[in-house]
Amino acid sequence: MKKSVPPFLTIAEASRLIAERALSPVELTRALLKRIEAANPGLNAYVLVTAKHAMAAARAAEKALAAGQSGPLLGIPLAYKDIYETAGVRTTAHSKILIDNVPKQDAETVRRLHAAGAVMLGKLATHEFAIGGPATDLPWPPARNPWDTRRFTGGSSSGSGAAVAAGIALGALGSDTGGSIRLPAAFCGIAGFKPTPGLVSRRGVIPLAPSLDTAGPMAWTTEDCAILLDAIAGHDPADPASVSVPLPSFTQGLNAPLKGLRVGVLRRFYEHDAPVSPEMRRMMTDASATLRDLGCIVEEARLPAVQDFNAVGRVIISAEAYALHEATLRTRLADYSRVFRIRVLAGALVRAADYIGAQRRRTDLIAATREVLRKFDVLICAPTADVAPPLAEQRPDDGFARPLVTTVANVAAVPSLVVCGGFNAAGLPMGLEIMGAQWNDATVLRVGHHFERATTTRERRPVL
Amino acid sequence: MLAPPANTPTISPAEMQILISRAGLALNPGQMADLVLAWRQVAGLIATIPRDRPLVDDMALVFRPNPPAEPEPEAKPVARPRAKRVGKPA
Repeated sequence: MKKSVPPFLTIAEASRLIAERALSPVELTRALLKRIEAANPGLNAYVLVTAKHAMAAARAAEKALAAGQSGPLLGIPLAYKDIYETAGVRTTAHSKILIDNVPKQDAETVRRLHAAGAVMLGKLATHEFAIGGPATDLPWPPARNPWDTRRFTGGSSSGSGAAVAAGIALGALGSDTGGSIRLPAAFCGIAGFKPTPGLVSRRGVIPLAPSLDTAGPMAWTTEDCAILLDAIAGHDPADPASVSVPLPSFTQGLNAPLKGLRVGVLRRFYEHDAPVSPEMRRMMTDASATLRDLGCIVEEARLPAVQDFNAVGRVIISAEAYALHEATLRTRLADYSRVFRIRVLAGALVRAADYIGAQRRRTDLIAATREVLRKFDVLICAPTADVAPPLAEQRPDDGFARPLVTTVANVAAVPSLVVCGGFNAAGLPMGLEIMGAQWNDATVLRVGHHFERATTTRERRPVL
Repeated sequence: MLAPPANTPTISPAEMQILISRAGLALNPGQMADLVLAWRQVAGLIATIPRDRPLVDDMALVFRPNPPAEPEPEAKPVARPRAKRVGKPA
C-alpha cells in the first residue's frame, strides 16, 4: 500500500483507493488524526477527538478488507455533530447541561454507518442544542470557517461544515430544523442534504423541534452525500416519524442525464423576500445557465413568501424547543447560553392556539409547495443573502430578525440540497439550494451532482 | 432587532412577569429584557399567520394511528381426543 495519503480525498475517491488496496484505512485514519491535531485549534470544529476509537475501528476495517469484505464506507473516517448519541462516547449538544452525558447506545444513523465499516474520528461543534448562533459563554468556542477563520461557519451544524471543508473529516452527519445542515454547507462551500422527513431515522439524535427535525449527510460532494444516504436511509420503527418506503440507490441514479428536467427558479425569494448581494444574484444567473446547458428546462417558479414559511417554522420551533427544555430551564437557566435563552424562552409565552394555528398553516404551505412541484421537478434559489459574514458581527440578540430561505424546505417537508454554486471575488463560497418534491430525494441529488460536475467548484479547497 | 409589525399584540412587562412565573421560571432583569425583545419578534410572527381556515379542514392534525396488524393465520383446530364409548346407549 502507498505510504502517503493525498491531502484531500472525497469519500468516493478514498473508497476506490481502499478497494484497490492503494490506501489503507489505518494510514488514512492516522493521516486525518494528524491533520485534526494541526488544524482543529484554529477551527474549533471538533469538541472531542476519539483517536483511540478511530484507530481501533480503522484496524477492524483493515481486517474486514483482508477477509474479503468490501463496501463504499469501509474504512472511511467520518465525524458526527455532537447531538448524535454515540455509545460510551460523551455527547454534549455543545452544552453545559449535558457535559457529562455518556449515552449507552449509538443513534440509529451512527449504528448504520458503523455497521457499514465507517470510522468515527470524533464529535463536532454545534450551536447549543442545535439552535441559535455562535456563543462564547459555552464550554467550547464556536467553530470557525476554514475559508477565512474570522468568518462564521453558519449553523447549527457548524463543526460539520468546518471539518468537511477543511478536509479533517471525509463526511459528517448534521441535523436540520430550519437550515442547520444547509447554512453551513453554503458558508463552508460543501454539499449538505436535508432529506424528506421520515427517510432517515432521528432515533438517538437530541431533538430541537420534533415536527421539523431531520437528520442528514454533509460532505465535499453531492456524490459523497448520496453514498452516506445509501447507508443511513431506511425505515426505523423506533422513530415515530420514520416511514417505510421502497428505497432507491441514491448513488446509482446520480449519472442519469438531466435532459428535459423542469427547473423552477424562485427568483422572487432572492430579489424580494430575502434580497441577496449582486454576486449572489450573478451566481443564480450562472447556475440557471449551467442547468440549461445540461438540458434542463429552466423557468421562473413562485411559492408563497419566505416570510410565511418563516413565521410558521419559527413559532413551531420556539414552542417545541421550549417544551423540551422547560424542566431544565427552571432549574439550570444560567447554564444555557444567552443566545439559546433568547431563541427558546419566548416559547414559554406561545399559546397552544398559536402553536396549533402555525401547524394548521403549515398544511396550507405544504399543499402550496406540492402544487408548484407538480409543474417542476426541482426548485432552485439562493439559501443565504451573501457569503459567510464575519463571526464578530453575529449578535446573540439577532433572534429571528432575518428571513431564512432554508426554512421553506423544513416547513414544506421536502428534500433540499445545498451545493457550492461558485465563489465571490474574495474567493469565498456561495451556496446554491435545490429543492424537490417529497420522496424525490434522488432527483435533487442528481441535479446537484450534475451541477458540480459541470462547474469547477469542487476543484478549489480552503488554504489552512 | 427589527421592530415588530404594527399589529403585534402588546403585553406589559408586569403581565409577562406573571406568565413567566406561571411557567416556573425566575429571570433576572437582563434575562427579562432579552425575553421582552425576543417575544416581540415571536408575537410579530404569530400575528402574520392567517387563521381564516374553515373548521372542517382539520380532520386530524398529525395523528396517524398504526395500520391494523396483519391477521394471524387461522390456527388449526386441535383434534380433540374422542370420548371413549363405554357402551352402546340404550
